[in-house]
Amino acid sequence: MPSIRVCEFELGRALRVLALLAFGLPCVAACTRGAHGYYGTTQPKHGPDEAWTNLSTEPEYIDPGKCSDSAGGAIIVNLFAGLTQPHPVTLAPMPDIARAWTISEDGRRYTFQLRPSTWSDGVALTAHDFEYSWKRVLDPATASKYATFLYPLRYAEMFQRRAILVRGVEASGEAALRARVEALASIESLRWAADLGGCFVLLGGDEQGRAAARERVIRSLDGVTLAGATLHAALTDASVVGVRAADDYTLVVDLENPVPYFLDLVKFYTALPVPRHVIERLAREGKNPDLWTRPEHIVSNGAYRLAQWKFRQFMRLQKNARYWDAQQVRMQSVRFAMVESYNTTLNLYEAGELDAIGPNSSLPAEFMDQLSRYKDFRRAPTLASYFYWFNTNAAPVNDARVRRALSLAIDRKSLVEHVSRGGQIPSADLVPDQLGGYMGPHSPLFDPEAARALLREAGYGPGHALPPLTLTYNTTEAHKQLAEAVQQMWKQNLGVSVELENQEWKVYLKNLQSMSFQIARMGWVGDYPDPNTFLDLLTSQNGNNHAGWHDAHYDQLLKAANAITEHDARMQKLQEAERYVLAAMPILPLYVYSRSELVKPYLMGHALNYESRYLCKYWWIDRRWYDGVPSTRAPEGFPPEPMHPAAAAAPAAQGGE
Amino acid sequence: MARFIVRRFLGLFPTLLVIIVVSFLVIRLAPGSPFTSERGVPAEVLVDLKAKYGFDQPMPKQLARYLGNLVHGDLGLSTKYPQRTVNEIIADGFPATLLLGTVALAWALLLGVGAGVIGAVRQNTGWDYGFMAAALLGISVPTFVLGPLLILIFALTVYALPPGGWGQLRHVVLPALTLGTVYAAYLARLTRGSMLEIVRADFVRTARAKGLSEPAIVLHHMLRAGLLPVVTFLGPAIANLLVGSVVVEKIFATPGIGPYFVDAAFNRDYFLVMGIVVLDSVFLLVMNLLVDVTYGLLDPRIRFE
Repeated sequence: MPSIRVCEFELGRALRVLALLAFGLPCVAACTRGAHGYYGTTQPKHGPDEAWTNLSTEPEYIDPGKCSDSAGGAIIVNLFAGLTQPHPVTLAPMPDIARAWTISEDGRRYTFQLRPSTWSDGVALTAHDFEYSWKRVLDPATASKYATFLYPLRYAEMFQRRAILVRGVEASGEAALRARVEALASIESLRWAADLGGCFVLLGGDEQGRAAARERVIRSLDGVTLAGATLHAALTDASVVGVRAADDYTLVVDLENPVPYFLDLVKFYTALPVPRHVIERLAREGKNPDLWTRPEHIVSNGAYRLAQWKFRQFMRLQKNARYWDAQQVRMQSVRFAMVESYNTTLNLYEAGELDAIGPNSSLPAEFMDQLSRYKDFRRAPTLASYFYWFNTNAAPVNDARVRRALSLAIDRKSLVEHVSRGGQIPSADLVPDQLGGYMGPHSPLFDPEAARALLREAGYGPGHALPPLTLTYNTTEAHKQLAEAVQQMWKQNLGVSVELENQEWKVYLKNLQSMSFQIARMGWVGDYPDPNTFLDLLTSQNGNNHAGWHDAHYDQLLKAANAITEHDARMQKLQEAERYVLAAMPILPLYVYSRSELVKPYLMGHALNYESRYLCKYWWIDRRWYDGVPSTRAPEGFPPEPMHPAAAAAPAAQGGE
Repeated sequence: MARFIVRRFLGLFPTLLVIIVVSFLVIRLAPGSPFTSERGVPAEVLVDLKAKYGFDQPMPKQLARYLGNLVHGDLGLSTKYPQRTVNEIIADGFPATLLLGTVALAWALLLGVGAGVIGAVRQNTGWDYGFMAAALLGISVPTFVLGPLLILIFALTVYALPPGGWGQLRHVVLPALTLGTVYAAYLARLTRGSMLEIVRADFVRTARAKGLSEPAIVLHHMLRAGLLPVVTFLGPAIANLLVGSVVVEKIFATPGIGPYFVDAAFNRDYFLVMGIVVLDSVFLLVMNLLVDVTYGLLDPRIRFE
């Protein structure tokens, strides 16, 4: 007698197709219904002061400093307020806790003037909270997965990576210092810090061994006289990191290099403040301070506070009356359900149990065509690219001409129209257009003639065929369909045989990181609206560069671009960098993602921005829908668009109120 | 009887130990780690994370530590939900699964045993054919078809019940019907089959000869003997219902522990996988023991040696 569960695990291929049909049955049937051209009910099932949406999954963390998942991020941006905040439509940075800021001429120092504000428990929020929060993210003991996000701060990486700071040594003593350390442990790099009167030493080898090596090096260097000077060696501490509260309402930030998109960075959830007083109180009381985000402890400073959190069921946010801009917040309460299945989400939306499908949910691709005909359907491009990595160390894709030929042999337009079908934008560029005012080089989308010519140039032709390739993807129906289409295009246009290989997600990631692949798929979601979020992916030092492609000239190009403070000139330089990288083609871009949503017509103030951010504080319910379908749509009531972020980042520029 | 129970009860522990040790080692063989993510994590951070969970220790030490903690009822920390212990996660999800399973079981017993008895007593009548055809349909239609069908009818056509979610009793109805119907179908066929064997048994004829009423014969004599195969089936069935269903809980967005069977393995949430394995094993072993004990109570012919 087979148990039910065994049956479920052993669903065969045919059964899965059946399952897909069955799961989608309600959707198909419902696609034929809908009042006044809307999908499902249009009368709110809740009061006019609340909204219901979906988070899709239980977040890993709602601690800004530790969060690295999109579900957590979606909650955090509603609970916490940072120095700047995104405009709901354009996402350009607007003042939030920082009421104004100045930027030094060299673009390396930002001075933020904070407005007086409080946490939801009434305790004052000061610049010291920001200093504490950012240093906490960087503290290796916090083990924040997004610590690298704050590496633009001066010496942040040295602190986070536990570099040894040797003070008292002169630049002239480098050779002696290097010899001394190398006798004890391998060195990854030495970095001079004139303002600290010393030198950072980053040790090499694996991290397990590094801990012991660090102690050894510190013990043997500390107090020793070298080239006539007495050395002081210690682990780098937080005091050297380039962020400090000059007073309660002034935060001074020093950067390693000019970062033209820094005001975008500080609105990302990693840079939002955490309540030091609560974390330290829990520690004092002998409780686990990591649990400060539990509903019984949590204190926030944003538009909402966490009122209820039922594990894997829902979270309810309640308006924070102490938020500095509380009078602008119209929605009193927002309920985020945690429904994973896209089909279930759609059913709940249809029945009026959800007002919007949620920032982390998608519409089932197989019903996209039907759903797109409804009035409550919305679509917009997002800050994400779909591409294939080439392992540039693996023949025959170690030849740039072969890589470019493979790219030109893909008919991206047809791929998007007939295979992915989600309104994606076909693109052979890595950076989505319009990102922070950027226009890409617009590489050709499809040119089989040029592809064949390139392949001939690389020495492959009738007598010498390109050896079979392997294209790897993580097990998902959508990736599979796309890979099959690409396989066919390469066969048809270049005569290349391609073997497809699918792997379960964690296995896939492991192989990607160990470079055990030839061609592999990836999607990359940008963290901030600037081309650098994509272009940086291919720099030599980037841990997410899986192409094995390291090019000093490219690194230099990008560095030079980011040192330019004038917006247009910088964009031009960035485009040059993108052209350069696309000529080498370590990465094969296919399309820019787009996001499709269903949003009930009575939910107002909800913008479909390209980061899929749900900024609930702009939401409100149009009460006319309780009585039927109104004839006109009310204005959304968004704030006016702020000036372009690049303009705010101009030298010695001033921003804010 | 008492000695039999004690002996069998003590026998559970070595079996459980083998299950735990094998599962503990097998899940570690899967490539990747709980901390593998598409975005590179600094090596310094990975080392701290591994140390936090004790993954930096040699495997025998980790196993010994896990077993030691288990004895104290500590199932460890989840890596996917880092702010929760596995104990908390199971305690959070188990009530939903338990409620769903209980309602589904009640529905299955009521429908299944009822239909089976009527089918046997009214053999070869319209009742019998009707119930058995329905049972055949119930067995053949899997939960992932039945669930969406029920949603389509009751939630999206007549808007009588919610299509998913949790929190009120009305949320339990559709998933419980979905989950219970398959069991009801099995039960109906099992009950009918075993009752038919008994209809012509000597003790039933004796009961009739004594002049007992038909309901008394069915309820007191036939059902008691006829339920033996049902009890055999119910043991593992209850264990299965109590640990939840992956598909039904996903379709109806029930916050139970069912989906962990798959999700925890995909996330390489080692301790959560182990927690679920331990829970499932304990239920299965205990239910099997209960089945054996119930045999003796129901059938006077069975004696425990």
